[in-house]
Amino acid sequence: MDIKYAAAASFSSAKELYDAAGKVREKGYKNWECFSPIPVHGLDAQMGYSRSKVPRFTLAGGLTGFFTGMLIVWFMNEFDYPLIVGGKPYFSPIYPFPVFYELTILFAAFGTLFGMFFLNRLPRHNHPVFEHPDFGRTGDDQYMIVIEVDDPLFDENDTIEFLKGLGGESAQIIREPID
Amino acid sequence: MSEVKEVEEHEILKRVDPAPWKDVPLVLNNRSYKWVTDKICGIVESKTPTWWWWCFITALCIASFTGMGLVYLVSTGVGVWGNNNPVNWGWAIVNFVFWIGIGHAGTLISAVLCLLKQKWRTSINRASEAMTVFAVLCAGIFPLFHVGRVWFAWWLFPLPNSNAIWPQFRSPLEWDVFAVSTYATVSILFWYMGMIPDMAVLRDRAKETWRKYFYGFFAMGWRNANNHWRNFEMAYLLLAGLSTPLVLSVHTIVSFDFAVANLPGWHTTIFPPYFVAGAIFSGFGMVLTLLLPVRSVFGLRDLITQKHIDNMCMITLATGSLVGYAYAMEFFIAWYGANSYEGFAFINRAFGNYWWSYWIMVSCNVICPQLFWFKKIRENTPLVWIISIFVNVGMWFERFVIANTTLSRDFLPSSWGYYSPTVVDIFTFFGTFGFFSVLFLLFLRFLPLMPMCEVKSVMPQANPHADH
Amino acid sequence: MGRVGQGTGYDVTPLLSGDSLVISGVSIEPTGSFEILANVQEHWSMEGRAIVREANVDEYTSDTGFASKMGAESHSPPMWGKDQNNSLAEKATSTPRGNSAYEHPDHTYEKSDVFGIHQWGMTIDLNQCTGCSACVVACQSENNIPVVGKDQVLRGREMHWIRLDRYFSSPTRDGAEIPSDVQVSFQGVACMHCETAPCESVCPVNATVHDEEGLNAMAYNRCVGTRYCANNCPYKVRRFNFFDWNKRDTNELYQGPLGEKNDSLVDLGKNPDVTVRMRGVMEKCTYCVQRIQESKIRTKVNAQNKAKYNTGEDGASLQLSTKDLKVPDGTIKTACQQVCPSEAIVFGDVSDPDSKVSKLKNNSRDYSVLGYLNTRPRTTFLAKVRNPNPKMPDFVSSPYATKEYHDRAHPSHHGDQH
Repeated sequence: MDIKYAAAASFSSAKELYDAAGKVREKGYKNWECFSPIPVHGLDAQMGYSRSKVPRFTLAGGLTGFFTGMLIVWFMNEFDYPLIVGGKPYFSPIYPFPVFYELTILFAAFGTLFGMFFLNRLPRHNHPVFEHPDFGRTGDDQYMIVIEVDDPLFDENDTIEFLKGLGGESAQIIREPID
Repeated sequence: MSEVKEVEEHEILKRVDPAPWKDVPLVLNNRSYKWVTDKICGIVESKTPTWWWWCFITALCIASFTGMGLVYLVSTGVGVWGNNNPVNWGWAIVNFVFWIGIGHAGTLISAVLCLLKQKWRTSINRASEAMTVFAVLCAGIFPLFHVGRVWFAWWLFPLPNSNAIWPQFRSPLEWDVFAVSTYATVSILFWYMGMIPDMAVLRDRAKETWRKYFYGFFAMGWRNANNHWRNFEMAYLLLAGLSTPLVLSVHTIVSFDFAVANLPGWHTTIFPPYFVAGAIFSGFGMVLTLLLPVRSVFGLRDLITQKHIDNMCMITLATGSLVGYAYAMEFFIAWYGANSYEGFAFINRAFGNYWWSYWIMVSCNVICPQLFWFKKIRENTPLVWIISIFVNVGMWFERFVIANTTLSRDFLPSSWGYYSPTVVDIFTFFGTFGFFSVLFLLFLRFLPLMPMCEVKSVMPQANPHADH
Repeated sequence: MGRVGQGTGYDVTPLLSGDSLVISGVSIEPTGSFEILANVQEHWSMEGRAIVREANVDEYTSDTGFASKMGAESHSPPMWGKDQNNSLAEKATSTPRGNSAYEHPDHTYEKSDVFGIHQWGMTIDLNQCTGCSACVVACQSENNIPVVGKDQVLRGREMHWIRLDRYFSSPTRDGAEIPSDVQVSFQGVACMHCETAPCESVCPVNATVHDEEGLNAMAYNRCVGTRYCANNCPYKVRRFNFFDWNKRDTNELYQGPLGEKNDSLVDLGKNPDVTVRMRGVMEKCTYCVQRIQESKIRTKVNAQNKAKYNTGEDGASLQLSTKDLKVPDGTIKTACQQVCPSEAIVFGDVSDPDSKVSKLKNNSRDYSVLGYLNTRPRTTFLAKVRNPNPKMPDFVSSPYATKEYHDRAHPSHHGDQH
């Protein structure tokens, strides 16, 4: 027993993919994705995506790191147990610089990586598109456009014909086997 | 919506035939994407070559020297090294700065060259980042184990303890804790994140089950989807942007170990830029030392081309010249500042009890890299490899000269003393090269040594607007 | 033969024969072999640095403040800045900023529970010092300083908290050999207890901090042993326990846990008032803090008893005045001060203008070694005044050390007196 997941077609160059993506978007499809071995420049705009939201996570992480660093130093060297060390002031914004700077970068890096995972909805070790017999070639030298069944404009025959018309090879339906 | 507009050809082109721009391709011989994938994955997927086993076993034996040296050190005391009063930091801190410095080139290649849009970085950045991670691991051994009571080293972290005392954050060693931990973590994160798409490729090609699980786990389910790439690219750029100030700050903080002290020859504001330039210099030396053999053994001449070698040599030359300039400036300021202790410190470096280490340093760091001005030398790969080894020898001696000549002869002549390393010192240090090699060999065997997605991005097929 | 003497040196008793201690008719031949002698100080020259400052009596009478005119601080911006002319007591209690880049926090901890009512300081009069080394021995026995053995001394790891530096100075400077015509200068150097101690700022774990009475305190149980403090000390007074000197047999240090433990008889000789340090820990002169604490406690107990007798109050409701809690001057003698035959070392409270140490510090000969580093050491030295007989054939008008200093500091004024 199979469930249909999407219609897929392969392309053999970045230019073909780029042009095809523009036409898919013009046609009005909403639930579709392009697969490529490299990030293709300009494809985001062709697909109608806005700028990635990862920087927000980076900023949040960085601010957390900065204030954590300052708090640690202030709390430990001035508030909780102030000790005279070399006649230096208990706390100043200067000497904790390495601490808060490094923590800013560290937490910002965590924010970036985990933000990227979160926005990509990863880890997700199983996905219907893996059922495509030639999926592995999207990491090698093939490009693919996949239009999901959930899309309102999806029609099994029309969508396949449309993809063939854009120059897609081996246009087929991806089926997900259910045990 | 970005459309490429047609540009009108300029009038002048109807009358003049411009000379063709000789654009050296970054991947030679018009390779296809499939060739690149098969080449890189092939190294990982094929049976382990015999030479790899020989190198691995040798490296393990050498690495055991470090293990044995450290066990002896911790059980018996720091006295098994050659440290004494006044030279309380002997080889240990020299080795620490040496390894951390080597790591900086990897981050420079990955992060700084990325921000500067240098496309040639793509075939070398994965291996250099690996080198960085492993070098930082080797470096971390030394500040941890050189302390008198290693079992209390965790007190340097801001954690509650039975003494109810906190760390002292004005100390550069405390700053080192944060800097080196952050550098290790961010380098690993950046290196790992860059590998995710390649892990996915290996996962999809994997035939054995253990490979499917191993690469599948680390690939996190990557699907090569454009939405993924969008976030990935942004995260990569951000991590590159974070790593750039990181690499500058980490070696600055390491240089503060010396600069914040008040000793003549140490207490100087030139150290941060001088150390960073030196770190990049030594790091590129190590990148050349590692990648030139890898290039020959694995047949990667089309991916690591003469242009790549040229560029790496030129960066080595530039940073080596910066280091030479810094040496000259230090001398000038020592004279100009008219502080007799500072002036003595520099004359002592060149003509005092460690004069031999000073001249090794100068000949390896200032004179050797100048050979890279000559194209004939840059094209002679074995010679480039030999020069890269001299670069690292010279940089080790630079840290030795800085640390030990000043400690050996500082303010009060009554406490002047000489330091000699003991057998334990020597074997512990050389063992770290074994440890580094073990890790690097494992990397070559199991992980994709080049970022396939990035290399493919700089090939002509990647351009969606080109006619092909 | 004790554990240190074993295997060291040569036994000359076979030379003795009969009752006479005088033997005649001996001959000496070189054997061709070399014996390395252990020496705690390798370099004998001051290298023209103003470490031991000396003058002849004529120079002194013409300029009593000669010591302040030598050294890098005589040619650099003044460390105390606008606070230069504050009194000694003010400088010790208020920690003036001077030319420092920042305000110093109140190191008497005045606003906290542990307010420091004394401020300890010391002077060492180089004129009185005969170089006898009694201070070194006294400090060793008072503070449980371990004996490390000849091999470790050869490696530069002797543990003495106070050392007696001995410099030779000569009119002809040839750094390679010891010249024949020299003058000798001694200087006892122990931890200077700097007010702005460079060692404190670089310890990552707060093992060495400043206490409320001006002592640079060393917390052995917190020390992790990074040795950065020893590197940053310009006087190099800090000593590191490279091995378990106290726990292991001196001749089996390198065998670590497989070696013999020390004879327990040695432990019986230790001073129970002072911690015995393990390996991996830094140590240094503490101004005999155990003696300071003992005196403070006794003074407080006396004051409590007296107050109880007078008022009938007891316990926490007793109000003791600072005057009663102050230890009278001269009560506390550090071990080195106690044994010095010429009373060169004087220790006391510098916040008290009437104490002996304050009066000596106000002497014009008083100077700080390496003062230009703005370490503000609490141990200062009184410069040496030589009084050679003008009629003797080896009379020189200025000590060799001063000549060396002027040659190095003002090479263009060769021969001039400054």
